[in-house]
Amino acid sequence: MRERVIFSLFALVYAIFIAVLFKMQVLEGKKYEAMAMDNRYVTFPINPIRGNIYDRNGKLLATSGFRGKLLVINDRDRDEKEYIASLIGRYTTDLSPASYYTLSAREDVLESHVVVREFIRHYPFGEKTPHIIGYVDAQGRGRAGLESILDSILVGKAGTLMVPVDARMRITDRDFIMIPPSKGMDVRTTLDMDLHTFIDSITSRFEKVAVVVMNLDGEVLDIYSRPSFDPNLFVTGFTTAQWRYVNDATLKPLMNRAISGRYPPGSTFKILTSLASIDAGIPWWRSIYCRGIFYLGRWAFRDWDVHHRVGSLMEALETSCDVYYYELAARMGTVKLLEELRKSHLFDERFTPFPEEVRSFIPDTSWYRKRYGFYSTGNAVNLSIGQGEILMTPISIAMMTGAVARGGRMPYPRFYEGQVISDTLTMEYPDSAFDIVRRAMYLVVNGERGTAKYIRWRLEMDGFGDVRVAGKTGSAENPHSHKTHSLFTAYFPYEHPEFVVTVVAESAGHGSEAAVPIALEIIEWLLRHYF
Amino acid sequence: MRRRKTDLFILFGFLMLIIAGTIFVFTSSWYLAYVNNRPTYYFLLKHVLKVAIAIFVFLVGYSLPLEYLRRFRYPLMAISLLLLLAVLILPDPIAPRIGGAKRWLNLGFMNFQISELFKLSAILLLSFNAKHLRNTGKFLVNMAIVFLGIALIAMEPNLSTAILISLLVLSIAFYAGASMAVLSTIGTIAAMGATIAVLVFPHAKARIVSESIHYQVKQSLIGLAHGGLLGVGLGKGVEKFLYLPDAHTDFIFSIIGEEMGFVGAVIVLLIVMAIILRGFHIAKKLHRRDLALSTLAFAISMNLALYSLGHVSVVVGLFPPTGIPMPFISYGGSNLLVNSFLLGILLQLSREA
Repeated sequence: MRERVIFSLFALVYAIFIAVLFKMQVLEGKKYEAMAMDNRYVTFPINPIRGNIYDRNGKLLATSGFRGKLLVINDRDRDEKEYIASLIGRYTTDLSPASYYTLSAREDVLESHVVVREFIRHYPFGEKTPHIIGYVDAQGRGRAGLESILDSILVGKAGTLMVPVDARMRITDRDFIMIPPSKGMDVRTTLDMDLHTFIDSITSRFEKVAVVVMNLDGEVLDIYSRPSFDPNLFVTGFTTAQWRYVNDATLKPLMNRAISGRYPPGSTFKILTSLASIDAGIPWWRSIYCRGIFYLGRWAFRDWDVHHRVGSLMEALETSCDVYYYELAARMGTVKLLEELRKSHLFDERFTPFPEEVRSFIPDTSWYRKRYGFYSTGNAVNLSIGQGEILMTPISIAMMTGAVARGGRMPYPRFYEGQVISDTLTMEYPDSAFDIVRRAMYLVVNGERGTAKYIRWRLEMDGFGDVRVAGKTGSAENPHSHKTHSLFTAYFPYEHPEFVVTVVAESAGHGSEAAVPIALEIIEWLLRHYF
Repeated sequence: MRRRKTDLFILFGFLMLIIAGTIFVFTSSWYLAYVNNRPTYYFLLKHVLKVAIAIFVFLVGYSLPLEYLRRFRYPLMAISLLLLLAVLILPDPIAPRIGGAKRWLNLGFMNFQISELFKLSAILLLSFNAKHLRNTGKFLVNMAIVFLGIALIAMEPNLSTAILISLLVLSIAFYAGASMAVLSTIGTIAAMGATIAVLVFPHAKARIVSESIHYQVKQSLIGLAHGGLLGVGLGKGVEKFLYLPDAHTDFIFSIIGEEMGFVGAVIVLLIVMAIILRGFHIAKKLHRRDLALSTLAFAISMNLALYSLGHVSVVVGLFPPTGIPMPFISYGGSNLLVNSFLLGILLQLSREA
């Protein structure tokens, strides 16, 4: 009897134990699994491989290099830190190439560190990298330019390295589990890097220059801004001198002058004043006699030259006669002029997807009232030649030029393949106005008295005599320097416009002195490479 | 003459368990040896040496005439009690203090745990006195002797072994037919003693209420769950990477569960269970003919049952973590040697049955 009690008790307890094991191992196994994984592995994120950025001909503008890195498994392992320091000079987790090879050869004896290669952004052109490429920060995220706005498609997906460790954080197994990072998508830009280096070489005698080269479909061939900086430094780190340089308050190397620099447009603005006056119904064929000075009540407005007889609006633009435009403005008055200028829509929107772009600025009557307490025809007179409060970015000057060339409509600039552009700049002026202004811009380069006839002369000398260019010079007075900003904006060929070139050279003198020769070199380069 | 048949199942079960034990001692201990700057086979070699001795002892148990054992039961008990006293008194080189407890006698090549020897003597004493146990007076004398030893074990301190041996002793007495009234009285007193001891010994109390022990149990449960149905594969477990302390001794069953899964763990349990059931079967067959031998077979089986269930209880968290070895599998010599000797005797008894 008694043995039966004990035997059956024993069998029962055994059955219960097997049931308990079944419950713990099979039924509830998943619950503990995650806990187990947390315990056993130290995980490290592995930088994703960023997509490459190419120019229109497939030149690499931004790619990925690698640098060696030490992952720290156990921070308290002093002996190993000393050992590492003895091998590579000092203990650091960011490894130079030499340190990387030194340490990876001894990888197997390291118990508290893992040597890995980490992908980092590399800009092969260094300082010559166009500003609109932008840069990435030390974490590899885009911080400016295309790197920033295309970050989500360039970035790729981070991988994970799982290092099996014991309870005291020592590596138990050298076969690490690696979920490899994936590469982001490549981006092909519309930029022409050869053109960019060419512009860089011909502008070297100037301190601050902005250039926009685009075709009339809106494809940007180059956006150039000088001075520039080396975007690689944001990845690898700055020296004190380099840091001071990129933050220089007057040079502003980080600023992309072509989209973020605002300049008084000077005489290039006469293009817009001309369109405005024709739309306002002021006869363009009217002639005046320019004595080099214009009186408005007690105030005298000086011209930069004495133009004598100016036969029409076209001649006025050709010779860049200020007095003619003063008279136009005086006839229209401030309210009418501002209303007409706004029909250009150049001041409404930003043209590029870059957040660093700033809008061009045109005052309105309420702004004048707030600033000065009143407004008068004097404001309009000043405005008519692109002086006073008006400020334009080089990209908007280029957009204005393109719109004139295309008869009032210019698609927004495009920077990379696949960029969706739905916007078009539409200027609300009559077609005849564009015809007249185009003819006038033609005369600026090709006319007897044109301010940019140097271009005509050089093209003929250099064997491009059959190419006609239309443009407008500008010399903008500015508070920064006694020398004017030198501006020139042009499109060509005149008959079938294909390219727009806009050049702004800060404090470089008259338009014809600096900007025109630069633009000429660019035009000839384009003629050699694109025709 | 009756044909005597040896129970081959017990023999092969024994061999399977010590082979499995050797394998799992290695997979659970190599890393511990490695981080202590020893060769990875350090614990394996020591274990293999003890397994060799265990096989020898098993053969001795199988061939030693039972009459010698019967005659030797009182001297053996006396020696056990003296040694239990000795380990409490003798200085460290001879009776080393390990983890705050004095349970071992240094034999040079191994530390022998005297409580195991006492367990052997208690089983022999009670089994060969089985027919006297129905006599309350003689029963009480036997119990007094045995519980003296148990008290000494509790003082080492080694409460878990004291409790297991108490259970073993009481179940032997129950099987032998001791009076239920006296038995339950002694059982109650023993239970009260155990409760008081738990409250008195700080380390025992700590084991039950402390938070830190939960780490060990949690790791054991994670290991079992990690194994799942079929296990992660031999040698592929990760608990041994110092996550689970005492992986090769007190928690070896968790390592089996992790690496071989539920299936492997149950196979090991079933082998142990089969040996125990064979033992019960032998005990039942001998019951009519010779109560002493029957009780001996029962006691040997019960010993295996209590230790294996005790070990698994700790591993699955039903019992506070304490050093209960898995018979024939855990690393550690004394338990292996005594169990092998007892199993040798059981194999001999199978021929008698």
